[in-house]
Amino acid sequence: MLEKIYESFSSFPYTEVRWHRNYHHFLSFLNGRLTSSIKFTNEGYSVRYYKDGVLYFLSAYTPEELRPTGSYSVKGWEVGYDDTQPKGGKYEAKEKKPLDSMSIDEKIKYFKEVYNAIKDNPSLVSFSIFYNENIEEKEVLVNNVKVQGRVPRVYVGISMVVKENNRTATARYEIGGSGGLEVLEGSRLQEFVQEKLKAVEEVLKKGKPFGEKKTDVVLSGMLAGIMAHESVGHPFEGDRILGREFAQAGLSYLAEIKEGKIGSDVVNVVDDPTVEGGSGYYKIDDEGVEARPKYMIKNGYINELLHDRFSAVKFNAKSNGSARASDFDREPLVRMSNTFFKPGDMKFEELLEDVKEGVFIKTYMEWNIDDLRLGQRYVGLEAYEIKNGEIGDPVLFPVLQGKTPELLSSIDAVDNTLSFYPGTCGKGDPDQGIPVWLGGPDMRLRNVRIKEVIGNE
Amino acid sequence: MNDEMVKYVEEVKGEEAGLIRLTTKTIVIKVIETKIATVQRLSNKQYFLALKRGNEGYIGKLSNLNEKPSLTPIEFYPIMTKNEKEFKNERQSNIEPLFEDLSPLLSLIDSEYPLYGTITLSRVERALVTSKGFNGVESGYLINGYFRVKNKNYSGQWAFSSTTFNPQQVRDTIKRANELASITGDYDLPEGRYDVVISPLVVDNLMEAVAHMASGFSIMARMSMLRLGEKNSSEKFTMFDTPKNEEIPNSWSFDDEGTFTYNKPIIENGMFNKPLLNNELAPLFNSESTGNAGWIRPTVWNLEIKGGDVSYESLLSGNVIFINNVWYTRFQNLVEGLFSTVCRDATVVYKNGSPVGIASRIRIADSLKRLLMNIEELSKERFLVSWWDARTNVLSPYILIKDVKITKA
Repeated sequence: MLEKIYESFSSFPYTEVRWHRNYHHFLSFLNGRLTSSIKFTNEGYSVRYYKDGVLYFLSAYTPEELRPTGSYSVKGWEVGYDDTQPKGGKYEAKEKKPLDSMSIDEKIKYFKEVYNAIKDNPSLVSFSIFYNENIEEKEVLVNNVKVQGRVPRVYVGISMVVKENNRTATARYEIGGSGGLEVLEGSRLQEFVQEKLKAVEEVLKKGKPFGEKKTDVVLSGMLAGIMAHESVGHPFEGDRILGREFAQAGLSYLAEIKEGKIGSDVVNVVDDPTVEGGSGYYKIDDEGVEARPKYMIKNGYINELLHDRFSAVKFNAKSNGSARASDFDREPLVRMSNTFFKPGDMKFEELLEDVKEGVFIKTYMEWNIDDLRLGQRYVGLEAYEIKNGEIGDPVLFPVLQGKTPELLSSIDAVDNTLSFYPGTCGKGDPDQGIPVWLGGPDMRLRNVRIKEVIGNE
Repeated sequence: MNDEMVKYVEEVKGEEAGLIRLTTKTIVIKVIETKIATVQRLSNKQYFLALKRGNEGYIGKLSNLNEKPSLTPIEFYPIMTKNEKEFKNERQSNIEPLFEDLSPLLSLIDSEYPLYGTITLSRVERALVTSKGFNGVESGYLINGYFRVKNKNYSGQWAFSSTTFNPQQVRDTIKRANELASITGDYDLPEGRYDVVISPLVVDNLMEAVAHMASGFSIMARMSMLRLGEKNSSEKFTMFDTPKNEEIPNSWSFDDEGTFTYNKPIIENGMFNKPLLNNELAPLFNSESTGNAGWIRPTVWNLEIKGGDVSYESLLSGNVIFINNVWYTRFQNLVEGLFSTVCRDATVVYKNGSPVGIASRIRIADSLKRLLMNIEELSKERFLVSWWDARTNVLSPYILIKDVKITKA
């Protein structure tokens, strides 16, 4: 079928045709009650072709609807494309424990038991679980070369409202990756939720304000992950630097800072689609370019941007296989995959040992970043004071706010752990949320500003 | 009417059954540096089924009407409204010819400063057949656009949303974005509490969150700062859900359970009296459906904020920060409404009524409850907008809010 569609667009210099199917089964629970079991398959076809500086994208649920619509006499923004010969082939993320190896009844029972384990805790106000099994399958034809991909994924989102000591907190956690039910099994969900509830309770019960000061901060792999994604991954997207997202999620600091050092020597940030188990796993991108790890920041230096065929040509570069579309009715865009700070050699205890006074931020609630990807803000939830190299009492909602180059330059050590978290990255119009992984080691930042909290003071 | 759907609902034999058909035809034009980057034509037809049969059921999408649903256990399920009416409403619009010839729209892409943005046009048809006798179909058109212009380190943005194509509206939107970007000069604004004037774009972003928290589902899940029957805003603030205004896109006559929709105040003179409900949540609130289904989660259709008595200019007459746009609104705590949002696209510092510069890289970091309580004035001028980071259509005035906490990175 793809070949037939391709034929009717063969007069255009660049054409790619895609069949894309996303199967989802969502289960959601509120306080142990199954609130929904929703099955959803998004399936259809798309064609993207290039002519005179304009990209035309057509999508439909039946292939018969895809016909060339002609072109317009307008000034096109694109300047051409990297014509690297596409790489054909098949890739697949394996389900070690198949998604259907547990019945729906068993899955429902599993999640209800997670709630049963914490429901008697008087601090718990409400508890929600959102579970998604997704199987993404696609076939892409570029220059008559076929790419086939199949990536199953598991995602669990947890949300809880906790009240203690006349203070409340809303805590959210995400677990997931590509593969089968081994992802769920490996999460030790019941124990994880029990630990998290206890930790949040402790913060609300015993947490004290840290005050506003410059201090040493240790960030967990969870915060390293969101920082890798928001402060490095997004601003290193070639199309964003060129202004393609200017009216949506904005520009990048790399539109001004073209090269040089933006972090300390220990800062290495990688986007690697080939990490097995990653939510952003793939081997060949949606333009038929082979995927590989991209070292965006190497030893603190700007090293490599993320490109598709169309952004690459504007930088006189080659695509590095970063084009992905979330569904059949979405155009491929430059996207992150599995994005992380690389770990080092130190142990976590070594990160702490020469911190006289500081704060360890383990999990966060609110975060955001400005549209140049410079000014960012993270509000800690599980956070603890560090005193003379030891983790101490909980700290009430410290706010880390700073500019990307300042924060990246203040990282003087990273430990030897590497944890990953799933996320849904938004971009483009129509918006397309795409599965990604974000992660990193625990990282020590020297002499950065912690701000006062609002509310709960 | 909808014969295939009627047959499916009869054959599927559920105590509760609702079948929706959603047919969309959309064009999205992306503009970068006043040039056309992409033209997307998206076409889709989707069927959604909600079914309850004993202790089992199905909620989800069907590939086509030959597919039989695979039932799973359910504990919370959509209840269809006893409404045996047939309903048909096919709205016409001068948007339709643009699907054949886009040139009248493309010829409007012109700007003093480099222009970025998106124009979307869409035809949407919703059909619903329920086991309780409802059979309806309704269709309509929308056009919306948002433009951001870049004047070196400064930017301006504006947006529009409509059910008819008016070339002047597109030109005016581009012009307004240019005007905002022409205000230049840096102003180093220290952190602190300030009186701010927020534009309809900011109202959209923040009130979308309030509307989400007004859903009966959010209240049931204790994920809401709103308390029923309590004063949570200034008395000057009234916010409606308006599904029955055919000049606003996303206006529909029936909801996903077959209840006829109606306009209603969600917050009236500062009081939150009206949670948004569907049939399954209504009994928990000793109420009836408000026509906002949403299977499982009731949602707002469109937002309308009541205008005030003063002019937009008069709101800027003192010492205020004018915030034209925000993005990346994130909540620290939904129960208390603690949040922050990042300002962009012309954050203008006014002293004695005159602009003295642009404050960059600032945030509103406060409690949304406090913001609502501190509403001081609303302009009489109102604008219908929506954009990428605030998709709900809102018809809103400019709003002056006292003592808003501003932080910066």
